[in-house]
Amino acid sequence: MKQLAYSLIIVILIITVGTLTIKMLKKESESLHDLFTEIENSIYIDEWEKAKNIVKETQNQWDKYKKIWPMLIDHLEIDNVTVKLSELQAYILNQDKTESLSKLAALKVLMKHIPEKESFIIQNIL
Amino acid sequence: MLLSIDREIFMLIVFIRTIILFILIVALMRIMGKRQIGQLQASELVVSLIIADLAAIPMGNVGIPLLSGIVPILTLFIGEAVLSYISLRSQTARKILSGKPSIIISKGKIVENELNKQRFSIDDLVEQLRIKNVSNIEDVEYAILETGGNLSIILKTAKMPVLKEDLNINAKYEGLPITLIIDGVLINENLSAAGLNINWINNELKINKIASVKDIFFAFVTNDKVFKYQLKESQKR
Repeated sequence: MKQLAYSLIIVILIITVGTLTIKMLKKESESLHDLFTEIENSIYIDEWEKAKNIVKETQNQWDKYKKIWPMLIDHLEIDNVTVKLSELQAYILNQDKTESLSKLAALKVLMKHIPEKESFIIQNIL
Repeated sequence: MLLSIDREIFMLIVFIRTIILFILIVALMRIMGKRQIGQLQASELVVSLIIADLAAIPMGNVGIPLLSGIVPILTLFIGEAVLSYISLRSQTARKILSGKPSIIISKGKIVENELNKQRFSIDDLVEQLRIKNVSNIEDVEYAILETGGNLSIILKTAKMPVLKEDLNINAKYEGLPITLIIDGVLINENLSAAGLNINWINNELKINKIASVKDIFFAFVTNDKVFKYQLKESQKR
């Protein structure tokens, strides 16, 4: 009976923590995705100064998320985002439109892919 | 997160992760009960093997979140707890999960069908009998292969060892000796369980010319309240 009680507590804990983390991941990656779209729009109209500011803000936000995400997802994905984000910063600083946009596209894909990979769907289970 | 990890810290991370997983597994094995270690049923063996494998992956690979090792281990623990609860409650479940004991030797004759069914060779059987000090299969009334894989042997009545009862000897009741002192430390719980008190111990020490409880390595009291002890090596010299 004691084992069964422990099991029940663990099941409830796993389900609760699992649901909360998926929600958190989704919310945070969406906010980063929005920031990337904003940067993209600024680059399209050649507002480099604005893009520089937003990318700095994005970096700060990412530094915050980077503290929690490693507990939940593969560290390789986090390294990927970190590398691409610093590349993006360098390209924006040099006002390289093509490279900046290509990095932004990659980052946006990553922001969609990470919560998708963690979400509770049949494709992920199988 | 490998980017921000120094090489020196890398080893420390593996160290801490291993400790966490080790504590978790030992705790779970303890909760799973004593039966786990000695005689594993099929489902228990599977759980133990998979847990060992699951723990090894996040231990060595710091790129994987620790949680992705802990969650499956906990899930297996839950599965095992539920299965053992069900098999405790239901006879049918027990039969399905653990199987049932099979009689391999019946009235001194080997049951060939059962032996084949259990894929238990004659050599295995003879070896097991020898381990149990039986050299002649004909001496065995029944040999039963238990669900945990152990062989139980029931000898023919004529071949069973003689008991005191058979010889009408009235044996004295021995009861359970109770440990009182281990390595110079008096166990108060056992002292009161034996219905004794500190005065009795002090009295026994005086009779045996022992200065203090601290000088005793091991002491116990028999069922008829006789104090038996062994002094520490340092006291004997």
